[in-house]
Amino acid sequence: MSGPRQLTVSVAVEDVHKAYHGRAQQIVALESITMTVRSGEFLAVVGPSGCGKSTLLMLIAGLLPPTRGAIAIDGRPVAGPYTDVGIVFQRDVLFEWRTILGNVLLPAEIKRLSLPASRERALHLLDEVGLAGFEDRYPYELSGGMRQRVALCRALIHDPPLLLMDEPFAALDAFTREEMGAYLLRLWHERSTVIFVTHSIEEAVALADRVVVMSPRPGRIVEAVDVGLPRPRGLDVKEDRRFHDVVHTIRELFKARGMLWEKTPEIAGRGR
Amino acid sequence: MSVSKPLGARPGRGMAHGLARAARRQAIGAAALVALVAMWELLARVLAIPSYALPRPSQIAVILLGRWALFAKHLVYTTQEVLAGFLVSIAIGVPVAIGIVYSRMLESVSYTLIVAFQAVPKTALAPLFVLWLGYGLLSKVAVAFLIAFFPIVVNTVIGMRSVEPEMLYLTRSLGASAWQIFLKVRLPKALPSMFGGFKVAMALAVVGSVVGEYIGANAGLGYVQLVASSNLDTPLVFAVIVVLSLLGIVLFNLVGLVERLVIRWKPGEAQMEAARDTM
Ligand SMILES: Nc1ncnc2c1ncn2[C@@H]1O[C@H](COP(=O)(O)OP(=O)(O)OP(=O)(O)O)[C@@H](O)[C@H]1O
Ligand SMILES: [Mg+2]
Repeated sequence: MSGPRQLTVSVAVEDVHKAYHGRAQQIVALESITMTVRSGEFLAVVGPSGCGKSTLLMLIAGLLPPTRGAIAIDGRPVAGPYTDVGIVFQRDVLFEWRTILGNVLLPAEIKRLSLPASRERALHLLDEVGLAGFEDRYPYELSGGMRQRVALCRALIHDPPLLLMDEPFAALDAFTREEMGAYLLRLWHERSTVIFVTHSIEEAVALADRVVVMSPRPGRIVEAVDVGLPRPRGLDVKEDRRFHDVVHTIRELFKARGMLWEKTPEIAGRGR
Repeated sequence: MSVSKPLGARPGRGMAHGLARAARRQAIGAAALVALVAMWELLARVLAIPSYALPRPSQIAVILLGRWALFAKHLVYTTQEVLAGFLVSIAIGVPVAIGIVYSRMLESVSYTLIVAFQAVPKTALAPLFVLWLGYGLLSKVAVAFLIAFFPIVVNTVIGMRSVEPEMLYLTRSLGASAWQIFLKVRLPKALPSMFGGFKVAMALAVVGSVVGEYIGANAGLGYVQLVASSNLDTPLVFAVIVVLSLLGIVLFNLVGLVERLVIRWKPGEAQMEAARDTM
Protein backbone atom coordinates (compact mmCIF):
# COMPACT_ATOMS: atom_id res chain seq x y z
CA MET A 1 0.00 0.00 0.00
CA SER A 2 1.11 3.54 -0.56
CA GLY A 3 1.61 5.62 2.51
CA PRO A 4 -0.14 5.30 5.84
CA ARG A 5 -3.67 4.28 5.16
CA GLN A 6 -6.63 6.30 6.08
CA LEU A 7 -8.38 4.81 9.07
CA THR A 8 -11.95 5.25 7.98
CA VAL A 9 -13.95 6.40 5.00
CA SER A 10 -17.35 7.96 4.48
CA VAL A 11 -19.91 6.39 2.18
CA ALA A 12 -22.45 8.41 0.24
CA VAL A 13 -25.35 6.64 -1.44
CA GLU A 14 -27.21 8.99 -3.73
CA ASP A 15 -30.65 8.12 -5.12
CA VAL A 16 -29.68 4.54 -5.90
CA HIS A 17 -32.04 2.17 -7.68
CA LYS A 18 -31.34 -1.44 -8.41
CA ALA A 19 -33.44 -3.71 -10.58
CA TYR A 20 -32.63 -7.33 -11.37
CA HIS A 21 -33.74 -8.88 -14.60
CA GLY A 22 -35.63 -11.93 -13.45
CA ARG A 23 -36.74 -14.70 -15.74
CA ALA A 24 -40.16 -13.24 -16.44
CA GLN A 25 -40.13 -9.67 -15.16
CA GLN A 26 -37.91 -7.08 -13.60
CA ILE A 27 -37.43 -7.27 -9.85
CA VAL A 28 -36.91 -3.88 -8.28
CA ALA A 29 -34.72 -4.62 -5.29
CA LEU A 30 -33.89 -1.07 -4.19
CA GLU A 31 -35.75 2.13 -4.88
CA SER A 32 -34.33 5.57 -4.35
CA ILE A 33 -31.90 4.87 -1.54
CA THR A 34 -30.11 7.92 -0.25
CA MET A 35 -27.95 7.73 2.83
CA THR A 36 -24.63 8.85 4.16
CA VAL A 37 -22.40 6.81 6.40
CA ARG A 38 -20.07 9.02 8.37
CA SER A 39 -16.41 8.24 8.51
CA GLY A 40 -15.82 5.86 11.42
CA GLU A 41 -19.50 5.22 11.95
CA PHE A 42 -20.92 1.83 12.82
CA LEU A 43 -24.15 1.68 10.84
CA ALA A 44 -26.63 -1.16 11.12
CA VAL A 45 -29.25 -1.90 8.48
CA VAL A 46 -32.41 -3.77 9.45
CA GLY A 47 -35.30 -4.71 7.24
CA PRO A 48 -37.48 -7.61 6.21
CA SER A 49 -36.14 -10.46 4.12
CA GLY A 50 -35.80 -9.64 0.45
CA CYS A 51 -35.82 -5.87 0.91
CA GLY A 52 -32.43 -5.53 -0.76
CA LYS A 53 -29.97 -5.32 2.13
CA SER A 54 -27.46 -7.69 0.56
CA THR A 55 -27.90 -5.91 -2.74
CA LEU A 56 -27.10 -2.60 -1.06
CA LEU A 57 -23.84 -4.00 0.32
CA MET A 58 -22.89 -5.41 -3.09
CA LEU A 59 -23.51 -2.02 -4.65
CA ILE A 60 -21.39 -0.24 -2.06
CA ALA A 61 -18.58 -2.75 -2.57
CA GLY A 62 -18.77 -2.01 -6.29
CA LEU A 63 -19.47 -5.66 -7.04
CA LEU A 64 -22.76 -4.78 -8.74
CA PRO A 65 -23.57 -1.63 -10.70
CA PRO A 66 -26.60 0.39 -9.63
CA THR A 67 -29.37 0.73 -12.20
CA ARG A 68 -29.55 4.42 -11.37
CA GLY A 69 -27.89 6.77 -8.96
CA ALA A 70 -24.36 6.87 -7.65
CA ILE A 71 -22.26 5.73 -4.74
CA ALA A 72 -19.15 7.51 -3.56
CA ILE A 73 -16.60 6.46 -0.97
CA ASP A 74 -14.78 9.43 0.49
CA GLY A 75 -16.08 11.49 -2.38
CA ARG A 76 -14.69 9.17 -5.05
CA PRO A 77 -17.37 7.52 -7.17
CA VAL A 78 -17.47 3.74 -6.97
CA ALA A 79 -17.05 2.15 -10.39
CA GLY A 80 -15.90 -1.42 -10.14
CA PRO A 81 -14.79 -3.23 -6.98
CA TYR A 82 -13.71 -0.99 -4.13
CA THR A 83 -10.75 -3.02 -2.97
CA ASP A 84 -10.04 -1.47 0.42
CA VAL A 85 -12.85 -3.37 2.02
CA GLY A 86 -13.40 -6.28 4.35
CA ILE A 87 -16.52 -8.38 3.80
CA VAL A 88 -18.16 -10.92 6.09
CA PHE A 89 -21.07 -12.96 4.79
CA GLN A 90 -23.69 -15.01 6.59
CA ARG A 91 -21.89 -18.16 5.47
CA ASP A 92 -18.28 -18.08 6.59
CA VAL A 93 -17.10 -19.20 3.10
CA LEU A 94 -13.74 -20.25 4.44
CA PHE A 95 -11.56 -21.88 1.79
CA GLU A 96 -11.63 -25.46 3.00
CA TRP A 97 -8.31 -26.24 1.30
CA ARG A 98 -6.48 -23.57 3.26
CA THR A 99 -5.41 -23.71 6.86
CA ILE A 100 -6.90 -21.19 9.27
CA LEU A 101 -3.83 -19.01 8.90
CA GLY A 102 -3.95 -19.43 5.12
CA ASN A 103 -7.57 -18.30 5.14
CA VAL A 104 -6.84 -15.20 7.19
CA LEU A 105 -3.91 -14.35 4.93
CA LEU A 106 -5.90 -14.62 1.70
CA PRO A 107 -6.57 -10.87 1.33
CA ALA A 108 -2.93 -10.09 2.07
CA GLU A 109 -1.86 -12.51 -0.65
CA ILE A 110 -4.27 -11.15 -3.22
CA LYS A 111 -3.29 -7.59 -2.41
CA ARG A 112 0.38 -8.60 -2.33
CA LEU A 113 1.02 -7.14 1.10
CA SER A 114 4.18 -8.02 2.98
CA LEU A 115 3.63 -11.59 4.12
CA PRO A 116 5.79 -11.60 7.28
CA ALA A 117 3.99 -8.52 8.59
CA SER A 118 0.58 -9.89 7.60
CA ARG A 119 1.40 -13.19 9.23
CA GLU A 120 2.19 -11.45 12.46
CA ARG A 121 -1.03 -9.48 12.26
CA ALA A 122 -3.01 -12.61 11.42
CA LEU A 123 -1.66 -14.43 14.46
CA HIS A 124 -2.49 -11.41 16.59
CA LEU A 125 -6.06 -11.26 15.26
CA LEU A 126 -6.57 -14.99 15.80
CA ASP A 127 -5.27 -14.58 19.32
CA GLU A 128 -7.73 -11.75 19.92
CA VAL A 129 -10.68 -13.94 18.99
CA GLY A 130 -9.47 -16.84 21.08
CA LEU A 131 -8.13 -18.95 18.25
CA ALA A 132 -4.43 -18.93 19.14
CA GLY A 133 -2.99 -22.34 18.35
CA PHE A 134 -5.53 -23.09 15.64
CA GLU A 135 -3.57 -21.49 12.79
CA ASP A 136 -2.49 -24.78 11.21
CA ARG A 137 -5.89 -26.44 11.48
CA TYR A 138 -8.26 -26.82 8.56
CA PRO A 139 -11.77 -25.31 8.59
CA TYR A 140 -13.51 -28.68 8.92
CA GLU A 141 -11.91 -29.02 12.34
CA LEU A 142 -13.64 -25.89 13.69
CA SER A 143 -17.13 -25.16 15.02
CA GLY A 144 -19.47 -22.73 13.28
CA GLY A 145 -18.70 -19.93 15.71
CA MET A 146 -14.96 -20.48 15.42
CA ARG A 147 -15.19 -20.48 11.65
CA GLN A 148 -17.07 -17.19 11.62
CA ARG A 149 -14.40 -15.71 13.89
CA VAL A 150 -11.81 -16.75 11.29
CA ALA A 151 -13.93 -15.05 8.61
CA LEU A 152 -13.91 -11.92 10.79
CA CYS A 153 -10.10 -12.03 11.06
CA ARG A 154 -9.88 -12.52 7.29
CA ALA A 155 -11.98 -9.41 6.74
CA LEU A 156 -9.68 -7.38 8.99
CA ILE A 157 -6.22 -8.67 8.02
CA HIS A 158 -5.57 -5.84 5.57
CA ASP A 159 -6.89 -3.28 8.05
CA PRO A 160 -9.60 -2.04 5.68
CA PRO A 161 -11.16 1.38 6.25
CA LEU A 162 -14.56 -0.09 5.36
CA LEU A 163 -16.13 -3.24 6.75
CA LEU A 164 -19.27 -4.68 5.14
CA MET A 165 -21.08 -7.35 7.11
CA ASP A 166 -24.09 -9.21 5.71
CA GLU A 167 -25.93 -10.92 8.56
CA PRO A 168 -22.59 -12.25 9.74
CA PHE A 169 -23.91 -13.94 12.86
CA ALA A 170 -27.33 -15.05 11.61
CA ALA A 171 -26.33 -18.70 11.29
CA LEU A 172 -25.09 -18.92 14.87
CA ASP A 173 -26.93 -19.82 18.06
CA ALA A 174 -28.00 -17.00 20.37
CA PHE A 175 -25.17 -17.49 22.83
CA THR A 176 -22.40 -17.63 20.22
CA ARG A 177 -24.02 -14.66 18.55
CA GLU A 178 -23.67 -12.43 21.59
CA GLU A 179 -20.10 -13.56 21.94
CA MET A 180 -19.39 -12.70 18.31
CA GLY A 181 -20.77 -9.22 18.83
CA ALA A 182 -18.33 -8.73 21.66
CA TYR A 183 -15.43 -10.01 19.54
CA LEU A 184 -16.43 -7.71 16.71
CA LEU A 185 -16.51 -4.65 18.96
CA ARG A 186 -13.15 -5.58 20.43
CA LEU A 187 -11.49 -6.00 17.02
CA TRP A 188 -13.21 -3.03 15.46
CA HIS A 189 -11.81 -0.50 17.94
CA GLU A 190 -13.54 2.22 15.95
CA ARG A 191 -10.82 1.67 13.36
CA SER A 192 -13.09 1.43 10.34
CA THR A 193 -16.46 2.42 9.01
CA VAL A 194 -18.87 -0.50 9.39
CA ILE A 195 -22.10 -1.29 7.57
CA PHE A 196 -23.73 -4.17 9.35
CA VAL A 197 -26.84 -5.90 7.99
CA THR A 198 -28.93 -7.88 10.42
CA HIS A 199 -32.43 -9.16 11.06
CA SER A 200 -32.08 -8.69 14.78
CA ILE A 201 -33.13 -5.28 16.04
CA GLU A 202 -31.44 -5.99 19.38
CA GLU A 203 -28.18 -6.87 17.70
CA ALA A 204 -28.33 -3.74 15.57
CA VAL A 205 -28.92 -1.48 18.56
CA ALA A 206 -26.33 -3.19 20.73
CA LEU A 207 -23.59 -2.77 18.13
CA ALA A 208 -24.33 0.30 16.04
CA ASP A 209 -24.22 4.07 16.31
CA ARG A 210 -27.17 4.39 13.98
CA VAL A 211 -29.76 1.97 12.67
CA VAL A 212 -31.24 2.33 9.20
CA VAL A 213 -34.69 0.80 8.92
CA MET A 214 -35.76 -0.43 5.51
CA SER A 215 -39.17 -1.17 4.03
CA PRO A 216 -40.14 -4.42 2.29
CA ARG A 217 -39.24 -4.82 -1.37
CA PRO A 218 -38.73 -2.57 -3.19
CA GLY A 219 -36.39 -1.52 -0.41
CA ARG A 220 -36.55 2.06 0.73
CA ILE A 221 -35.15 3.74 3.77
CA VAL A 222 -37.92 4.29 6.30
CA GLU A 223 -35.86 6.02 8.90
CA ALA A 224 -32.41 6.23 10.45
CA VAL A 225 -32.48 5.96 14.23
CA ASP A 226 -29.62 7.28 16.35
CA VAL A 227 -28.65 4.85 19.08
CA GLY A 228 -26.67 7.20 21.25
CA LEU A 229 -25.32 4.59 23.64
CA PRO A 230 -21.83 5.34 24.92
CA ARG A 231 -18.72 3.47 23.82
CA PRO A 232 -16.86 1.37 24.59
CA ARG A 233 -19.79 -0.99 24.97
CA GLY A 234 -19.91 -4.38 26.55
CA LEU A 235 -22.60 -7.01 26.58
CA ASP A 236 -24.25 -5.11 29.43
CA VAL A 237 -25.64 -2.46 27.06
CA LYS A 238 -28.66 -4.69 26.83
CA GLU A 239 -29.49 -3.81 30.40
CA ASP A 240 -29.39 -0.11 29.63
CA ARG A 241 -32.74 1.74 29.57
CA ARG A 242 -31.72 3.65 26.49
CA PHE A 243 -31.10 0.32 24.69
CA HIS A 244 -34.68 -0.78 25.30
CA ASP A 245 -36.04 2.60 24.28
CA VAL A 246 -34.27 2.47 20.92
CA VAL A 247 -35.29 -1.14 20.31
CA HIS A 248 -38.86 -0.15 21.10
CA THR A 249 -38.71 2.83 18.74
CA ILE A 250 -37.54 0.63 15.88
CA ARG A 251 -40.15 -2.02 16.59
CA GLU A 252 -42.83 0.63 16.48
CA LEU A 253 -41.52 1.76 13.09
CA PHE A 254 -42.00 -1.75 11.76
CA LYS A 255 -45.36 -2.22 13.42
CA ALA A 256 -46.64 1.04 11.98
CA ARG A 257 -46.01 -0.48 8.56
CA GLY A 258 -47.76 -3.69 9.36
CA MET A 259 -44.50 -5.60 9.39
CA LEU A 260 -43.14 -8.09 11.88
CA TRP A 261 -45.23 -9.76 14.47
CA GLU A 262 -48.36 -7.63 14.33
CA LYS A 263 -49.60 -9.77 11.49
CA THR A 264 -48.60 -12.99 13.18
CA PRO A 265 -49.19 -12.40 16.88
CA GLU A 266 -48.50 -16.01 17.83
CA ILE A 267 -44.85 -15.56 16.91
CA ALA A 268 -44.48 -12.31 18.83
CA GLY A 269 -43.43 -13.61 22.20
CA ARG A 270 -41.06 -16.24 20.84
CA GLY A 271 -38.35 -15.94 18.24
CA ARG A 272 -37.15 -12.66 19.65
CA MET B 1 2.56 -17.32 -3.04
CA SER B 2 0.33 -19.66 -1.18
CA VAL B 3 1.05 -20.03 2.48
CA SER B 4 -0.04 -23.60 2.82
CA LYS B 5 2.11 -25.45 5.28
CA PRO B 6 2.73 -29.12 4.93
CA LEU B 7 0.32 -30.80 7.22
CA GLY B 8 2.21 -33.39 9.13
CA ALA B 9 0.24 -36.19 10.66
CA ARG B 10 -1.10 -34.45 13.71
CA PRO B 11 -1.74 -37.12 16.25
CA GLY B 12 -5.46 -36.86 16.73
CA ARG B 13 -6.98 -38.82 19.53
CA GLY B 14 -9.24 -40.99 17.39
CA MET B 15 -6.48 -41.51 14.83
CA ALA B 16 -4.73 -44.64 16.09
CA HIS B 17 -8.05 -46.17 16.93
CA GLY B 18 -9.44 -45.32 13.51
CA LEU B 19 -6.40 -46.79 11.78
CA ALA B 20 -6.80 -49.99 13.74
CA ARG B 21 -10.42 -50.11 12.65
CA ALA B 22 -9.48 -49.57 9.02
CA ALA B 23 -6.89 -52.34 9.23
CA ARG B 24 -9.41 -54.69 10.79
CA ARG B 25 -11.94 -53.91 8.07
CA GLN B 26 -9.39 -54.75 5.38
CA ALA B 27 -8.42 -57.95 7.16
CA ILE B 28 -12.05 -59.03 7.22
CA GLY B 29 -12.36 -58.30 3.50
CA ALA B 30 -9.22 -60.30 2.71
CA ALA B 31 -10.45 -63.22 4.81
CA ALA B 32 -13.77 -63.23 2.94
CA LEU B 33 -11.92 -63.31 -0.38
CA VAL B 34 -9.74 -66.21 0.74
CA ALA B 35 -12.82 -68.09 1.94
CA LEU B 36 -14.54 -67.53 -1.40
CA VAL B 37 -11.55 -68.80 -3.36
CA ALA B 38 -11.25 -71.82 -1.07
CA MET B 39 -14.92 -72.65 -1.60
CA TRP B 40 -14.51 -72.34 -5.36
CA GLU B 41 -11.53 -74.71 -5.25
CA LEU B 42 -13.45 -77.16 -3.12
CA LEU B 43 -16.63 -77.13 -5.20
CA ALA B 44 -14.72 -77.43 -8.48
CA ARG B 45 -12.96 -80.52 -7.10
CA VAL B 46 -16.02 -82.12 -5.52
CA LEU B 47 -18.23 -81.57 -8.57
CA ALA B 48 -15.35 -82.45 -10.90
CA ILE B 49 -15.96 -79.44 -13.12
CA PRO B 50 -13.79 -79.67 -16.25
CA SER B 51 -11.13 -76.95 -16.40
CA TYR B 52 -12.18 -75.75 -19.87
CA ALA B 53 -15.52 -74.76 -18.31
CA LEU B 54 -14.32 -73.44 -14.97
CA PRO B 55 -10.69 -73.90 -13.94
CA ARG B 56 -9.81 -74.26 -10.29
CA PRO B 57 -8.05 -71.36 -8.55
CA SER B 58 -5.01 -73.56 -8.06
CA GLN B 59 -4.79 -74.20 -11.81
CA ILE B 60 -5.01 -70.48 -12.48
CA ALA B 61 -2.28 -69.85 -9.93
CA VAL B 62 -0.02 -72.42 -11.56
CA ILE B 63 -0.40 -70.69 -14.90
CA LEU B 64 0.17 -67.26 -13.38
CA LEU B 65 3.39 -68.39 -11.77
CA GLY B 66 4.57 -70.63 -14.56
CA ARG B 67 4.08 -68.15 -17.39
CA TRP B 68 4.87 -64.97 -15.50
CA ALA B 69 7.24 -63.75 -18.21
CA LEU B 70 4.41 -63.82 -20.75
CA PHE B 71 2.12 -61.89 -18.42
CA ALA B 72 4.82 -59.40 -17.52
CA LYS B 73 5.49 -58.58 -21.16
CA HIS B 74 1.85 -58.05 -22.08
CA LEU B 75 1.06 -56.35 -18.80
CA VAL B 76 3.70 -53.74 -19.56
CA TYR B 77 2.20 -53.24 -23.00
CA THR B 78 -1.37 -52.82 -21.75
CA THR B 79 -0.28 -50.59 -18.88
CA GLN B 80 1.42 -48.29 -21.36
CA GLU B 81 -1.79 -47.98 -23.35
CA VAL B 82 -3.87 -47.32 -20.24
CA LEU B 83 -1.53 -44.73 -18.78
CA ALA B 84 -1.03 -42.97 -22.09
CA GLY B 85 -4.79 -42.85 -22.73
CA PHE B 86 -5.42 -41.65 -19.18
CA LEU B 87 -2.78 -38.94 -19.28
CA VAL B 88 -3.87 -37.69 -22.68
CA SER B 89 -7.46 -37.53 -21.48
CA ILE B 90 -6.34 -35.37 -18.55
CA ALA B 91 -4.12 -33.22 -20.74
CA ILE B 92 -7.00 -32.53 -23.10
CA GLY B 93 -10.01 -32.94 -20.80
CA VAL B 94 -8.98 -30.47 -18.10
CA PRO B 95 -8.22 -27.57 -20.49
CA VAL B 96 -11.47 -28.25 -22.35
CA ALA B 97 -13.34 -28.13 -19.04
CA ILE B 98 -11.65 -24.84 -18.13
CA GLY B 99 -12.66 -23.46 -21.50
CA ILE B 100 -16.24 -24.53 -20.91
CA VAL B 101 -16.29 -22.85 -17.49
CA TYR B 102 -14.78 -19.61 -18.73
CA SER B 103 -16.21 -19.17 -22.21
CA ARG B 104 -19.90 -18.93 -22.76
CA MET B 105 -19.53 -19.74 -26.43
CA LEU B 106 -17.37 -22.78 -25.82
CA GLU B 107 -19.87 -23.82 -23.20
CA SER B 108 -22.90 -23.77 -25.44
CA VAL B 109 -21.06 -25.44 -28.31
CA SER B 110 -18.94 -28.07 -26.66
CA TYR B 111 -20.88 -28.90 -23.55
CA THR B 112 -23.96 -29.79 -25.54
CA LEU B 113 -21.82 -31.80 -27.93
CA ILE B 114 -20.08 -33.55 -25.09
CA VAL B 115 -23.28 -34.44 -23.30
CA ALA B 116 -24.77 -35.74 -26.56
CA PHE B 117 -21.61 -37.67 -27.33
CA GLN B 118 -21.69 -39.10 -23.82
CA ALA B 119 -24.62 -41.23 -25.02
CA VAL B 120 -22.61 -42.90 -27.77
CA PRO B 121 -21.20 -46.24 -26.59
CA LYS B 122 -17.51 -45.40 -26.93
CA THR B 123 -16.45 -49.01 -27.23
CA ALA B 124 -18.54 -49.23 -30.40
CA LEU B 125 -16.09 -46.77 -31.93
CA ALA B 126 -13.10 -48.98 -31.19
CA PRO B 127 -13.21 -50.81 -34.55
CA LEU B 128 -12.97 -47.44 -36.29
CA PHE B 129 -9.85 -46.49 -34.40
CA VAL B 130 -8.21 -49.80 -35.22
CA LEU B 131 -9.14 -49.19 -38.83
CA TRP B 132 -7.71 -45.69 -38.81
CA LEU B 133 -4.72 -46.07 -36.52
CA GLY B 134 -3.67 -49.65 -37.04
CA TYR B 135 -2.96 -52.61 -34.81
CA GLY B 136 -0.32 -50.89 -32.71
CA LEU B 137 -0.34 -48.96 -29.47
CA LEU B 138 -1.91 -45.83 -30.90
CA SER B 139 -5.39 -47.20 -31.61
CA LYS B 140 -5.69 -48.50 -28.01
CA VAL B 141 -4.48 -45.24 -26.56
CA ALA B 142 -7.13 -43.52 -28.65
CA VAL B 143 -9.94 -45.76 -27.38
CA ALA B 144 -8.74 -45.42 -23.78
CA PHE B 145 -8.55 -41.65 -24.20
CA LEU B 146 -12.00 -41.38 -25.72
CA ILE B 147 -13.67 -43.32 -22.96
CA ALA B 148 -11.72 -41.65 -20.12
CA PHE B 149 -12.14 -38.14 -21.48
CA PHE B 150 -15.80 -37.55 -20.58
CA PRO B 151 -15.82 -38.14 -16.86
CA ILE B 152 -12.78 -35.87 -16.57
CA VAL B 153 -14.43 -33.02 -18.46
CA VAL B 154 -17.77 -33.37 -16.69
CA ASN B 155 -16.30 -33.64 -13.21
CA THR B 156 -13.90 -30.76 -13.73
CA VAL B 157 -16.71 -28.52 -14.99
CA ILE B 158 -18.95 -29.49 -12.07
CA GLY B 159 -16.13 -28.91 -9.60
CA MET B 160 -15.24 -25.49 -10.93
CA ARG B 161 -18.89 -24.47 -10.99
CA SER B 162 -19.37 -25.50 -7.37
CA VAL B 163 -17.59 -22.36 -6.15
CA GLU B 164 -19.86 -20.40 -3.81
CA PRO B 165 -20.71 -16.96 -5.23
CA GLU B 166 -19.50 -15.38 -1.99
CA MET B 167 -16.00 -16.73 -2.66
CA LEU B 168 -15.98 -14.92 -5.97
CA TYR B 169 -17.41 -11.74 -4.44
CA LEU B 170 -14.78 -11.86 -1.75
CA THR B 171 -11.83 -12.32 -4.07
CA ARG B 172 -13.13 -9.82 -6.59
CA SER B 173 -13.72 -7.28 -3.86
CA LEU B 174 -10.02 -7.54 -3.02
CA GLY B 175 -9.11 -6.82 -6.63
CA ALA B 176 -8.07 -10.36 -7.51
CA SER B 177 -7.21 -10.97 -11.16
CA ALA B 178 -8.97 -13.66 -13.16
CA TRP B 179 -5.76 -15.69 -12.95
CA GLN B 180 -5.64 -15.33 -9.15
CA ILE B 181 -9.27 -16.38 -8.88
CA PHE B 182 -8.57 -19.42 -11.03
CA LEU B 183 -5.52 -20.46 -9.05
CA LYS B 184 -6.77 -19.62 -5.58
CA VAL B 185 -10.46 -20.44 -5.87
CA ARG B 186 -11.69 -22.43 -8.84
CA LEU B 187 -8.90 -24.94 -9.17
CA PRO B 188 -8.55 -25.93 -5.50
CA LYS B 189 -12.34 -25.97 -5.15
CA ALA B 190 -12.61 -28.32 -8.13
CA LEU B 191 -9.86 -30.74 -7.10
CA PRO B 192 -11.97 -33.20 -5.08
CA SER B 193 -14.48 -33.48 -7.91
CA MET B 194 -11.67 -33.72 -10.47
CA PHE B 195 -10.08 -36.61 -8.63
CA GLY B 196 -13.44 -38.34 -8.55
CA GLY B 197 -13.42 -38.02 -12.33
CA PHE B 198 -9.80 -39.21 -12.57
CA LYS B 199 -10.62 -42.40 -10.68
CA VAL B 200 -13.53 -43.25 -12.95
CA ALA B 201 -11.39 -42.31 -15.95
CA MET B 202 -8.59 -44.64 -14.90
CA ALA B 203 -10.97 -47.57 -14.52
CA LEU B 204 -12.50 -46.77 -17.91
CA ALA B 205 -9.09 -46.41 -19.56
CA VAL B 206 -8.39 -50.06 -18.67
CA VAL B 207 -11.68 -51.06 -20.28
CA GLY B 208 -10.89 -48.99 -23.37
CA SER B 209 -7.44 -50.46 -23.84
CA VAL B 210 -8.60 -54.05 -23.48
CA VAL B 211 -11.55 -53.56 -25.82
CA GLY B 212 -9.14 -52.04 -28.32
CA GLU B 213 -6.92 -55.09 -27.98
CA TYR B 214 -9.87 -57.42 -28.56
CA ILE B 215 -10.58 -55.74 -31.85
CA GLY B 216 -7.16 -55.81 -33.32
CA ALA B 217 -3.77 -56.15 -31.70
CA ASN B 218 -0.67 -58.27 -31.62
CA ALA B 219 0.21 -57.66 -27.99
CA GLY B 220 -1.39 -56.81 -24.66
CA LEU B 221 -3.45 -58.70 -22.13
CA GLY B 222 -6.64 -58.44 -24.18
CA TYR B 223 -4.81 -59.95 -27.12
CA VAL B 224 -3.51 -62.82 -24.93
CA GLN B 225 -7.01 -63.44 -23.67
CA LEU B 226 -8.46 -63.47 -27.17
CA VAL B 227 -5.89 -66.00 -28.35
CA ALA B 228 -6.43 -68.14 -25.24
CA SER B 229 -10.16 -68.04 -25.78
CA SER B 230 -9.92 -69.18 -29.38
CA ASN B 231 -7.68 -72.05 -28.19
CA LEU B 232 -10.28 -72.97 -25.55
CA ASP B 233 -7.52 -72.37 -22.96
CA THR B 234 -9.94 -71.32 -20.24
CA PRO B 235 -7.39 -71.34 -17.40
CA LEU B 236 -5.30 -68.81 -19.32
CA VAL B 237 -8.39 -66.68 -19.94
CA PHE B 238 -8.98 -66.65 -16.21
CA ALA B 239 -5.35 -65.87 -15.48
CA VAL B 240 -5.62 -62.80 -17.69
CA ILE B 241 -8.76 -61.75 -15.83
CA VAL B 242 -6.81 -61.96 -12.58
CA VAL B 243 -3.94 -59.90 -13.98
CA LEU B 244 -6.33 -57.30 -15.41
CA SER B 245 -8.16 -57.04 -12.11
CA LEU B 246 -4.90 -56.51 -10.27
CA LEU B 247 -3.89 -53.89 -12.83
CA GLY B 248 -7.19 -52.08 -12.36
CA ILE B 249 -6.90 -52.13 -8.58
CA VAL B 250 -3.30 -50.90 -8.60
CA LEU B 251 -3.98 -48.06 -11.05
CA PHE B 252 -7.15 -46.98 -9.24
CA ASN B 253 -5.31 -46.87 -5.94
CA LEU B 254 -2.47 -45.00 -7.57
CA VAL B 255 -4.90 -42.19 -8.38
CA GLY B 256 -6.26 -42.45 -4.84
CA LEU B 257 -2.73 -42.11 -3.47
CA VAL B 258 -2.04 -38.99 -5.52
CA GLU B 259 -5.43 -37.67 -4.37
CA ARG B 260 -4.49 -38.11 -0.73
CA LEU B 261 -1.16 -36.39 -1.33
CA VAL B 262 -2.81 -33.43 -3.04
CA ILE B 263 -6.00 -33.07 -0.98
CA ARG B 264 -4.95 -32.79 2.60
CA TRP B 265 -7.79 -30.64 3.83
CA LYS B 266 -10.41 -33.35 4.09
CA PRO B 267 -10.97 -35.41 7.17
CA GLY B 268 -8.56 -38.31 6.86
CA GLU B 269 -9.63 -41.90 6.51
CA ALA B 270 -8.74 -42.66 10.09
CA GLN B 271 -10.91 -39.83 11.35
CA MET B 272 -13.78 -40.90 9.12
CA GLU B 273 -13.48 -44.36 10.58
CA ALA B 274 -13.52 -42.91 14.07
CA ALA B 275 -16.64 -40.89 13.19
CA ARG B 276 -18.32 -43.97 11.78
CA ASP B 277 -17.57 -45.81 15.00
CA THR B 278 -19.46 -43.31 17.05
CA MET B 279 -22.58 -43.51 14.86
N1 LIG C 1 -29.17 -12.12 -8.79
C1 LIG C 1 -30.46 -11.81 -8.65
N2 LIG C 1 -31.31 -11.94 -9.68
C2 LIG C 1 -32.61 -11.61 -9.56
N3 LIG C 1 -33.15 -11.17 -8.43
C3 LIG C 1 -32.38 -11.02 -7.36
C4 LIG C 1 -30.99 -11.34 -7.41
N4 LIG C 1 -30.46 -11.12 -6.18
C5 LIG C 1 -31.47 -10.67 -5.43
N5 LIG C 1 -32.62 -10.61 -6.11
C6 LIG C 1 -33.91 -10.13 -5.62
O1 LIG C 1 -33.74 -8.86 -5.11
C7 LIG C 1 -34.42 -8.71 -3.87
C8 LIG C 1 -33.46 -8.27 -2.80
O2 LIG C 1 -32.52 -9.30 -2.56
P1 LIG C 1 -31.46 -9.20 -1.40
O3 LIG C 1 -30.71 -10.46 -1.37
O4 LIG C 1 -30.67 -7.96 -1.55
O5 LIG C 1 -32.38 -9.09 -0.11
P2 LIG C 1 -32.01 -9.11 1.42
O6 LIG C 1 -32.62 -7.92 2.05
O7 LIG C 1 -30.56 -9.28 1.59
O8 LIG C 1 -32.78 -10.40 1.92
P3 LIG C 1 -32.40 -11.37 3.14
O9 LIG C 1 -32.67 -10.59 4.38
O10 LIG C 1 -33.34 -12.52 2.99
O11 LIG C 1 -30.96 -11.74 2.98
C9 LIG C 1 -35.07 -10.04 -3.59
O12 LIG C 1 -36.43 -9.94 -3.91
C10 LIG C 1 -34.38 -11.01 -4.49
O13 LIG C 1 -35.30 -11.97 -4.95
MG1 LIG D 1 -29.35 -10.84 2.38
